[in-house]
Amino acid sequence: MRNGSVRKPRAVLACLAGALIVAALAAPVSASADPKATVSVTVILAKKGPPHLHPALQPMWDTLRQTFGEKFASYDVHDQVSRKVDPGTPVDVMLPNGVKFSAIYAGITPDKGLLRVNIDMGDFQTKVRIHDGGVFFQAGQKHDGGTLVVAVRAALDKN
Amino acid sequence: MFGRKRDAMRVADGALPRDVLDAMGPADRAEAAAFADLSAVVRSASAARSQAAGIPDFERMFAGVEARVEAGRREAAETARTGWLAGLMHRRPLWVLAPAGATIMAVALGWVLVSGGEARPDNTCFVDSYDADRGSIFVDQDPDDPAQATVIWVVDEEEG
Repeated sequence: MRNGSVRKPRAVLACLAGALIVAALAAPVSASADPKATVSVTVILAKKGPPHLHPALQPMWDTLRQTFGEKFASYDVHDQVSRKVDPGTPVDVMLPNGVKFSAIYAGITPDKGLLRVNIDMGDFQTKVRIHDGGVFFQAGQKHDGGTLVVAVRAALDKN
Repeated sequence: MFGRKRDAMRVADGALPRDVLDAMGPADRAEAAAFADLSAVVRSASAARSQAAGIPDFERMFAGVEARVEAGRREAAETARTGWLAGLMHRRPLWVLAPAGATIMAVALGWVLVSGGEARPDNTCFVDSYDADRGSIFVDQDPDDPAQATVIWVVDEEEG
């Protein structure tokens, strides 16, 4: 009788320990199930002024033109960072006004495979979902007579 | 003597130019004329016999062959003068037009395939949340145009 009462809590403890181990093993597996992604952050100084396109923006010209239309005519690159990252790893870039801009790839959605991207810029945060290879912009901060436009592109790593 | 007679026979057969006769005497010229007459008689008799026996007229056949050889020589000279492509285009237009058409079709098909493979990216962006302690936030996007990228404007009201 005494032995049985001792065995029962031990069995419960063993089950709990087993469940914890399984949970601990499963958590990293599920987190690392999402593939890596290449996140590119391009800091652009857009102005009205005479037409100008930085050579590095040539591949993005169609998107810039269709998105901003007549709003800007001059596009210069201040900084450009592109990194292959695991989910949760930020890609940081320092804006010319001293504000840190972080783009964090947060994995893919299970249903449509969209890429989750979080943006953290000073007191501004946003969470978006984009298609593989898609791009979006954050814009609005004034600098050097122009407007800072930050292009964020994320593409899944095919390898 | 045999030499002159042989030359007369060759002139009669057309193997030597007729101006060779100018260097000969009247007797040789008469002999050449006789050889020519004899050759014509023999040829006509041979043709008549061949026709009667149902044998092809070799004279006409060789004349046709010579005409074709001469035509080929003229074409070669024309090709050398105008260039091989122009000459080929003139003689065998299909040999030029068919490969050219096939090449144009292949290029067009390749362009369609390549441009289709590099389709414009879908820049549709779903903004799930945004937050800022100050300033205004507005999202500029056109849901009907996936090529147009979304712009998340963060405007500091102090800056205007």
